[in-house]
Amino acid sequence: MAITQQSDVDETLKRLAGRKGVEGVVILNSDGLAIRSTIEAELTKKYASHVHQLVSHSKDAISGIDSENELTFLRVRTKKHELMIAPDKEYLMIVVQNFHEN
Amino acid sequence: QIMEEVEINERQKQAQLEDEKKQNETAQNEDTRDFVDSSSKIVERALHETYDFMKDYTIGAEV
Repeated sequence: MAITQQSDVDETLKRLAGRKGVEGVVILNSDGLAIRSTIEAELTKKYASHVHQLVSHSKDAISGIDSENELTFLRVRTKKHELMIAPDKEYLMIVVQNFHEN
Repeated sequence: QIMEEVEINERQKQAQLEDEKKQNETAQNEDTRDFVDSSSKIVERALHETYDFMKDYTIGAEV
């Protein structure tokens, strides 16, 4: 059996959070609870609740337009940041990017 | 003596429960890792895109 070298979750997140322009990474579970985060607790909570709702609305919108379609990725551009949101059945990844630094 | 047996049984049950819990956690961790592995790759690729489609070229441009 081939041994696949799988990277450690926390290491992957740290590496991602260390990329230029990345302000933080948050992983939510399907209940919208943050199970990992590289940003401070209070802000993590805010991101968790709001993004969870945003994604749930987005999913509904996409499947409402075409019931055979599904949301796969969400980028939200704001004055200050860009949010990159990768949703999955079980989890959700939020990456907050400060594109002005790029 | 009966009490002892009950106690042993109880302990075995406890150990079994803990084993199951551990297995569940491991499975969950694997799920998390698979998700983080794949989603981080997508995000990394998105980060590599340096072109800023929102950049305002009108600022500072004196024509």
